[in-house]
Amino acid sequence: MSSHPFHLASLAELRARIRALEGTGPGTERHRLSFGAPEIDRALPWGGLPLGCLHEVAGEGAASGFCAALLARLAGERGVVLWCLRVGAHQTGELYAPGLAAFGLDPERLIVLRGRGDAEVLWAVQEGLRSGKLAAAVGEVRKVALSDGRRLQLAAEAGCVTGILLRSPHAKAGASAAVTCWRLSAAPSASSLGEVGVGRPRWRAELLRCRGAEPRSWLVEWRHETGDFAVVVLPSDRSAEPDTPARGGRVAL
Amino acid sequence: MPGLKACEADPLGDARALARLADWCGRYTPWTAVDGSDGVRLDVTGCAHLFGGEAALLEDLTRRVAALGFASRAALAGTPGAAWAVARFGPRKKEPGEMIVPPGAEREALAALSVAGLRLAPALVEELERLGLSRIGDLDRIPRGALTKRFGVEPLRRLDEALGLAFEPISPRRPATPYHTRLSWPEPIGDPASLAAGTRRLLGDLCARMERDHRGARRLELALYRVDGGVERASVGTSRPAREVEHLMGLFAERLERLDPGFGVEVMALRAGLVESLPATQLSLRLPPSGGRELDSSRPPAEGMAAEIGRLVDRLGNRFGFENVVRFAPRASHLPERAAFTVPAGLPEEKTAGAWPRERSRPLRLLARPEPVEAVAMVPDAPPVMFRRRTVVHRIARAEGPERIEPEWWRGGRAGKAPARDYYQVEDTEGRRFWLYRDGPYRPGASPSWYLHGIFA
Repeated sequence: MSSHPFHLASLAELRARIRALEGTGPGTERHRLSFGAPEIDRALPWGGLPLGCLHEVAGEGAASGFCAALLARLAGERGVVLWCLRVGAHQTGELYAPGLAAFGLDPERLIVLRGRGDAEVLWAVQEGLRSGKLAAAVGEVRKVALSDGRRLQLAAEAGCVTGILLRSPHAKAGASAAVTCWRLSAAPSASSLGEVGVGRPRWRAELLRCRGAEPRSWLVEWRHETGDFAVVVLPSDRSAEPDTPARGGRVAL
Repeated sequence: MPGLKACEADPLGDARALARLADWCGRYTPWTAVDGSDGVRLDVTGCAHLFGGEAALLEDLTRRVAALGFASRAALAGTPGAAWAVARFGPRKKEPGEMIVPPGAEREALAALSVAGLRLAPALVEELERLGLSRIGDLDRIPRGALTKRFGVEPLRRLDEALGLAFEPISPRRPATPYHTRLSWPEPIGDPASLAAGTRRLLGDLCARMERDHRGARRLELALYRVDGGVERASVGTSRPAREVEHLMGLFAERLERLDPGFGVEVMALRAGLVESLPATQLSLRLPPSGGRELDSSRPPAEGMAAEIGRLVDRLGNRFGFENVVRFAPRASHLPERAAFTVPAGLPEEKTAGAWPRERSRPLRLLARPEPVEAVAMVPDAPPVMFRRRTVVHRIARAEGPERIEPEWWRGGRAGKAPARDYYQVEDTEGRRFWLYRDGPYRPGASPSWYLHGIFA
C-alpha cells in the first residue's frame, strides 16, 4: 500500500465516512474520551472511548471502579451522570458515595435511580440517554437482550449521551449491540518503594469486542492524582507480547 | 304487609355510595361535598353558564342522578342554608328547574317553610313548634336579641346563614384550587387518541393561564367522568414547577393508558393540586451547548441543561416513585453506614450542601448489613492474614489499617454502647480489595468477630 499523502488522506476520509455511517460518530476531538494512557487510546479506532454510544463493562468490583473512573472523566466539571442501581444486590453491596471520591467523581454530580429489575433499569437508562443533556448514563443489569441493546444504542446516538451497562462477569458473552465490550477483573496492586500498604487500584482490562479493532487486554492502574489511567507492563510480561501500535497500513473497518 | 321489601341497613355502604355520588358531581363543579347522611352539596357559582343556565343545570343534574338510580330532590339558592331548606321542605315543583331561589329572595322563599329547615336540633325544633313558631318567617319576625336570650345562639346563626347574613363555607371533597379546567363532549368518547387529545387541550388551557400568572404546577390531577357514574383519576407530580405542555403531556401519556373509560367519558377535568411560582425564563443570547459534551469548563452550566435534567427526574420519578430517584448527601458522622444518605433528586442543591470527607479511603460499594466472615489474624492489632467469606478463602497479600471508628455515644441506646470497630483495607492474592472490620478491640482469650463491610473497586 503506497504511503502517498493523497492515499492516506483519502483513507482517513473513507474511514471517517464509514464510521459516521456506522453511527459511532466521527473520531474528532470532541467525540471521544481519552483514557490518558496512550496504549489504550491507540488501540481504539477513535483514539479513545467513543462518546454518544453504548458500552458494556462486565466484572464485579473492578467493573464498578472502572466505570466510576470513566464517569469522572466524562462528567468533568459540569456534567451530570445518571446511575441506575439494582436494588437488593446483597452480594456486592450498593454504591457508596464516599467511595466515589477515590475516582474523582463528585457525588453531587450523580443522580441515582434505584430500580427493581432489569426492565426498570433499562427503561431508565434509555430515558437518560434520550434526554441529551447528561454526561453519561449507567445501568446495572443482569441480562440484556440484543433488541434492548440496539434500542439503547439508538437512544445514545439520538441524544449524544454515552451509555454504559454494568454486568456481572458470569453473563454469557453473546451478541451485543454495544460499540465496545470490556471485561474487568481484579489484579494485585503494587506500591512504591518503601510502602507496605495497598497500592493504587489495578485491574486487568480486556477489550472483548470493539468495532474496528482487535481484542486486547491491558493491566491498567488508576491514578487518582492525575485522574487518568496508566498501563502497567510487568517485567514478566515484557518478553511475551510487545506492545505494537496500531498499524497504519491496514484498513480497519 | 306482603308488598313491603325489607333489606339490611348498611350505613357504611350508604356513606360510600353518597361519597361516590359527590365525586361524580365533580363533573359540574369542583366544589362538592357530602351533606349529612343523605345529601350532596355543590357550589355552582360561576359554573351555571357552562350548562346553559341554572335551570338547565338543575334539570340536567336531577335527570342524570335519576338515571344513576337515585330518587332525589334538588334546589338551588344563594346560600347553602336556603338551598338545604328548599330542597327538603320546599314545595315540590313540576319542573326540577323551578326549584331555584332567585338571588336576594331567600327571605321570601324561606318564610313559609318549617323551622326544621334551619338544621336545628330536633329538641329545639319541638320546643319552637310548641311555642307556636313553626315557620321560619315567624322566627324572622322576633327581634334578634330576644331570640338569642331565649333559645341560644344556634337558631340565630342558622337563620343568618340561610339568609346570607353570615358566611358558610363549603369544604370541598377535593381541595379547591383556582387552576382547573374542564372539557365535555356531547357524545361520550372512549378511544385513547381522543382522550389524549382532550388531555392535551386541557393542559394547553391550564399552562397558558399559569404562564400568565408566572406559576408552575407541581401536582396535576386529571379526572374522567364516565357515563355510568364512575370517575377515573390520574395524577402526576414534578420535582420542580412546570408548565410546558409537551413535558406534562409526556408524563400523563403513561397514566392515560392505565385508565379505563368504561362505556365512555363525557367530561374531563384537570386541576393543578400544587402550584408554585415560576418566573418567566429569559432567553439567553447565546445558545446553550449541545449535548453537554463541551470540554470548555469556563462557562457556567446552561439553564437548558438544568431544566432538561429536571424533566428527566420528573419522568423517572413519575414512573418509579420520586423516592427512588435520589442524590447522595453527606452527613457528619464517622460511622460508614451513616456517612451518606439519600435525598430526593428534585431538591435544589443548596439544601443538601455539605462537605464530603476526602482524606479517608472508602470502598466503592458498601454492604447494607455487614457480613460476618471468619478471619485469622496473627497478632493483635494486625490485619488478618486470611479470611473466609462463604465458601471462598482469601489470602491477604496487602493490608492497611487499623482505622478505629468509635460508636456515637451521644446517640445513646444500643447504638451508643456498640464496641469500637477496627477497619482494615485488605487486598488478597488475586487483587480483590475488601473492607473488613473487627468488632471490638482484641481481648486475650476471646475470639473476635470479623465482618466484611465493603468492597473496593
